[in-house]
Amino acid sequence: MPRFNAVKWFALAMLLLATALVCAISTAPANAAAAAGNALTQKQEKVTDSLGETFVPRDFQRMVTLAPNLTETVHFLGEFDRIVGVTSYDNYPPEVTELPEVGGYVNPSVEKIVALKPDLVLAFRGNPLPVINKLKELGITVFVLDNPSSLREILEQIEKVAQLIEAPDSARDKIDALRKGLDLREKAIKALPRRPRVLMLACCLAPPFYAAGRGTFIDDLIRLAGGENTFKGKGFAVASAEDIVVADPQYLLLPAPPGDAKYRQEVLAKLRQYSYLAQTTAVKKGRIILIDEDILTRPGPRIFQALEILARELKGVGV
Amino acid sequence: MTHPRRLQTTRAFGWAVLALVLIILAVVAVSLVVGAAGFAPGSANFRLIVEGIRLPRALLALLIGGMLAVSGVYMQTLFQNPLAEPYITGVSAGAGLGAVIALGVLPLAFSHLNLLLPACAFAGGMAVTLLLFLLLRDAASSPLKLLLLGIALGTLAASLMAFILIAFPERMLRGALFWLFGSLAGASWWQVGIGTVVLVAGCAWGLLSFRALDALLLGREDAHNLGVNVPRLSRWLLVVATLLASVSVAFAGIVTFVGLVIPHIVRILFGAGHLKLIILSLLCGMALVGIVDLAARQLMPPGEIPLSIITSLIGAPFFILLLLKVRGGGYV
Repeated sequence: MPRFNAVKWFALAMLLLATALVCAISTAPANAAAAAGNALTQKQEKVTDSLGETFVPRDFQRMVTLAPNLTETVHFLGEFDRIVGVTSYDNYPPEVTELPEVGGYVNPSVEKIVALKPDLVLAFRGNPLPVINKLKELGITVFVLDNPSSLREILEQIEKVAQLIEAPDSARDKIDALRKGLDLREKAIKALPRRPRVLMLACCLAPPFYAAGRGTFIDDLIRLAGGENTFKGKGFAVASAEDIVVADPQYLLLPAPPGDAKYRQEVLAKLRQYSYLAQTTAVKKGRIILIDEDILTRPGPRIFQALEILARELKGVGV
Repeated sequence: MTHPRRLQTTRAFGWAVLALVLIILAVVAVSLVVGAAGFAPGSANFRLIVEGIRLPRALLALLIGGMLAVSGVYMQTLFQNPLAEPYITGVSAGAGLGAVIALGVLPLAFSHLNLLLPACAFAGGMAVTLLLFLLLRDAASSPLKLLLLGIALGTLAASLMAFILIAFPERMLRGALFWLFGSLAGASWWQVGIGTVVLVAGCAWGLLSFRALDALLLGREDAHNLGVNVPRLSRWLLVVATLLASVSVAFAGIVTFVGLVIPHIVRILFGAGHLKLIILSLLCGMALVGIVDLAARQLMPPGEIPLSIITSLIGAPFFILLLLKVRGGGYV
């Protein structure tokens, strides 16, 4: 029957193509390179990235970081001078502007990265997969970090990077100090009689309002600062007018552009335009907590500064 | 502007082929020497940049352009409708849905996506076509119904895709943007290999059956009377067009405009005969996406711009001009 002929051929073609795809990929040089890299690694303690690949630590000297928080992490570890390229979103530390840019973190240029001859690329899961794969195929070591969902996970990531790039002992001390601070905070918040309700709106002072919900590091930040995240959504999600009314936050936590003195007034004026926001305790009482957006929204070492600021703001206010 | 009939001679066709081949060669040559890393033949990894990054990428750009343009030709002939193209008939949306499912829903290890992402995109595009086959047993019976079914399935796939992106926002970070707007940043030699085989096969099939395809333009009845097995030809058209479009989406994400407009440009200038139409659409598509990817890399270095933004930016004004100035070619 001629009618089924085309369908049969179609199925056959699909099968052939799938086979070809599998063959092509299984022989890709990236795998060979990874296998070769793993061969000499028995003794040293290996570091595993979020893709499950293992890496041998060494003192990498030419790093490219594909997100600002990764740059800040290396800087925090005291190894900033080992970075040779960053994204165009990087602005901290201030010296970072002198480094070559490789594009944004969603659209970096592979060849620009390769031209910088990195011995390590620090990436995260927001970087496009094709770019990560292409870099690996070209034989470049790419360590991919996860999107952390708590401050402790951020700390673990900093530790992982420290281990990977063989950061000096002074860096380990700084990490230990952060961990101790975190442990102390965990204890301190247990004793709190009441927790002020906090709502973090992630961006854009016009609907739809995106709020930080469960499973975000901001949610954890609010908890550790002694507050209660009133937004019950999952991840960074749209908070509807009803969500906001039900949440009735006592504080609004907002990322702010650094060094804009008038911003607080502008924000309040804008928020008051929406009745459901104007009705909240936070807006009525003008309790808007503004934190430098780069400190608040980047899951890097400076998030612990945000924690200090937020804890201070929330402390000792009548709830 | 030139009257189109003057261009519909063999000599004009020859000149056009020659000109397009030269343009394509020039695009490849330029692609090899420009880029975010600059031109520094002396430096140690310059060879790696040219051979490992720029060359496969330039070649894949040509292949994607060719696949989309030829796929557009086949779909417009099959549906006998000037609006048909992979994006509208649901193939691209199905492939995009496949990619997003791989990214957002399947509990896959991130590292396995390397293999599975293109495979899922490909399967998604094919699934839409299989569904079309199942829903409408005789693909040739009603081109319009087939097109509407394709549009409906495409809309369904697109809304499922949007839903997944909203339901799994953190997973969307894994580069779904690449799939939705098109990019060649991951271009690799194995993709060039598969792409070449698919494109050559897809074009060869069309060139071998160009008389039957031409007959189909007269309408199903006339084609049948001329001895064409219309149902069979229609199924093959759908399969080949889907294959071309799905592979393209699997490797470069959704690139709009090329499949729709390139065949029209060629038809307006050189007539609707399939022999010329397929060859010239192939070359025009190659040239357009080659140029577009150059622009994607060069307009805002070192960052890159998604392809779909630029295809329309470059292609649309030219197409509008052509529509207004030239009368009587192709469908319009």
